[in-house]
Amino acid sequence: MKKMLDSYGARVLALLLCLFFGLGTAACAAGAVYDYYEPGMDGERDFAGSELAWDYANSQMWNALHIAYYSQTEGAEYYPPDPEDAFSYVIRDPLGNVVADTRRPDSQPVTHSENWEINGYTGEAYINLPVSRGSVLYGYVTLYDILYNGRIVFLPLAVVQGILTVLLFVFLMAAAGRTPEGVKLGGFHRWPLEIYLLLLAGAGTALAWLLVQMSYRRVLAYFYLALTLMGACMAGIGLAVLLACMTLAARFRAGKWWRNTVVFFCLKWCWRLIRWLWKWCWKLLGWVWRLIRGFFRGIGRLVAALPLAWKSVLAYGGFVLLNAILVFGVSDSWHAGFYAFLLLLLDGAGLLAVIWVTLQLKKLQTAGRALAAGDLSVTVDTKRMLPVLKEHAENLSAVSLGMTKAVNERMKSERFKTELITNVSHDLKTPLTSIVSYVDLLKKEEIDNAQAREYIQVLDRQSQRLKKLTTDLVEASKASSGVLSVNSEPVDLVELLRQSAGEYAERFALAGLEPVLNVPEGESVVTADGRLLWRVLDNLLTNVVKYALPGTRVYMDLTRTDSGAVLSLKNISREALNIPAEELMERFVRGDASRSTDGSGLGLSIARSLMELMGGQLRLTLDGDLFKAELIFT
Amino acid sequence: MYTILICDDDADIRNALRIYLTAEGYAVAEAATGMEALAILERQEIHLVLMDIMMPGMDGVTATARLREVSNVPVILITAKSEDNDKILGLTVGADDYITKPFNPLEVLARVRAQLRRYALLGGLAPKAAELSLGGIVMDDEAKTVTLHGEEIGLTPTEYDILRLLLQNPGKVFSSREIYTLVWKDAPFSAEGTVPVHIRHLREKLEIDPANPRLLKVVWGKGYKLEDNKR
Repeated sequence: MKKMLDSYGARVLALLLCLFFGLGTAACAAGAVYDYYEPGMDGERDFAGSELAWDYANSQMWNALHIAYYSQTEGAEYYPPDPEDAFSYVIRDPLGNVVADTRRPDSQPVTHSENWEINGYTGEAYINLPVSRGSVLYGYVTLYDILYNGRIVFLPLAVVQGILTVLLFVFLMAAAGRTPEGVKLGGFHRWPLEIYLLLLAGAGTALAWLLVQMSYRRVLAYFYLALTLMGACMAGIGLAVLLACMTLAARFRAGKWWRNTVVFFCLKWCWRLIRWLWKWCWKLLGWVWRLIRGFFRGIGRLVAALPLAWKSVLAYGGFVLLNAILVFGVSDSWHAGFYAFLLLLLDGAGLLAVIWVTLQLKKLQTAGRALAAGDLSVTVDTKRMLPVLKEHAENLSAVSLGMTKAVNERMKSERFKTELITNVSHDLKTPLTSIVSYVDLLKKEEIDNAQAREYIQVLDRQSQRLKKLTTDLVEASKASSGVLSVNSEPVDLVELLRQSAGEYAERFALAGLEPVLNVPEGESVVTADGRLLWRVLDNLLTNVVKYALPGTRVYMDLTRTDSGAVLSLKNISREALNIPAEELMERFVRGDASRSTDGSGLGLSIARSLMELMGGQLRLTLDGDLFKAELIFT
Repeated sequence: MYTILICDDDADIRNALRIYLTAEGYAVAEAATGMEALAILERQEIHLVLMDIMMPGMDGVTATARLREVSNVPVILITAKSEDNDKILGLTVGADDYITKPFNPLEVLARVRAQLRRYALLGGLAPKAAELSLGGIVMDDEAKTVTLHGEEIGLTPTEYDILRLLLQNPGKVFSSREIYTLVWKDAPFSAEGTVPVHIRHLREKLEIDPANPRLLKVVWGKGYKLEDNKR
């Protein structure tokens, strides 16, 4: 089956057969329909009684009747018409008298319908058989014979041929466009679709012409020729229809059936042309636009290149000049109203321009103020700004952006520092905890060896020192890096000083020192972090207890200043201090060169860092043996 | 006998703590991670937990928070972080006390004892009408005695009066002047300088580490207050 579908020979054969059977079907169907409606076809052969005979007689009979009637009523002489050899008639007047009679002995009456009549004149038609070849009636007789003889076979023939036609048509549709290599459009499938329409139209026109000709009965004289021509026309139409159906099927199968049509081709080219034109129009417009823009830009650049002062002068000068011209115009009495209107318009525009510039300046001022106040998220909407002001606005934005960046950078590094200190502190403290704990455990063991006991003593002392040192170191790095969080709140320095003195009361007594408090009446409140402040005082007082000469007084004074307060600690040093006071605040610097006392040498450094964190200041003064530490709050 | 769970990722520290605690007569369980500690708590009866904060995996604060969902056992945090925020966070999620590294072993033992006493007394006697109590301090104003975790402590009359004032107003900050006026019933005439000394003495009697008080707190530059982290 597939082979057959792909074969060209089978297709050509099928096409021809389909055409043949199709035409046969049409002819047989027409005959069957005619036979069905025509009476007398199922009885004896009777041509004279058939509709075809009547049809033949009809026109000739009217003709004869008219002539007879007029000749009788208007007194004209009767000339009987010269009828065809095969036609005869009898005409009677209203009284029944025979006016004309051309009958022959072999004439047979035409009985299909009633007689012909005009105002009482009646006619009877007759045909003379047998008919000679070449006459019109001969065609009628031949047609009648075909229809009569085939009356039984027409219907079955039509059905059988119809079925065959349909089957062949289906086969053709299925095979259309197929090749052994798949669906491919070759041969007549490549022709534009319209050609089939043209073929169809041509064959249709020929058929129509033929049918019109057939209506003139004379054609039936050439009956076989007419039949052949009609068959050819029908075959042409059938072929055109079949080919069109096949190629349509093939094109549908291949997809995009509209591609190979003249209409599509034309539309495509039209579309291309339109697009091309469109593009060029745009290009042209673009050129023109660029030309205009370039011109104005050139002027703009020229103006922009001028210094700001010149620009202002130019703008103002132009305004004044226009004004002057218009004022002169007003003096012209003919068009004074018009010029006055223009003048008003110009001055209004000037006012608007001034307001516009002022608004922009205001915007810039607001942004600048916000920036100065520390709002780094400032942005200025530079849309529709004068170029000069726009530049300024962009500079402002850039400043805020840069500052935001710097602040972010700073915060990042702060976070990093905090993390580092936390981790290092943890990593130092964990082993230290073990050391301290195990030395303590070792101390509790019963060891006979006196030497070992002494070593353990050293270990104990040094591990305690290491502990203090580590804690202070972490503290110092926290304080100096600013990682420590400061909770600033109102702090009463008088209370703080009393609390500190209370904390140290016993240690002062043990060191043989006498504290002397000099505080003003009432409260003395500053803004600081109380706990950090206590750490500062703690560190300072530890030093006092450690280094002051026993039997002396320690002065703790608080004095109010205009902007804040000064808290000072004074004591007499036990040892002579040979180093500058500033150096004492450096890390790991200690007053005693021997470094025999315990301590990390970080106390003053931490104190200073903490004071600075809180926005205060630590000042040390050495006057001989007098050691003075001042906490300055502003 | 009480069982104490030590949770620290450092084996040496765990070991040292175990030696101290067993020497005191406590039974000890050990965990190296927060997860392990939680598992042991499910398995075994534990009376107190010593929890390190900085541990790999689950940290001590998270472990404490998880533990608090199921247990009421006292938790003491051991922390190398001496930042206030960490302490506050730890106490907020449910720890009862904290110790900072490097710690003094004796301080650890003292805090363990205090927490265990408190845990044992928890839900015990309801305070009498004349009794004032806060964070383990119980003051019997009729007998004029003060006990801390059930142990009587000797106070001077002045210290007693100051403590009563603070106990009556927990959380309130009193300046030296106010305390002087209220306790001495006298106008302060530069004699309020003695108040901090009394407070210091009081702290030494009430606190395990007077420099880092847990109950009687110094608000520097403002005054003093009595406050318990665990209400």
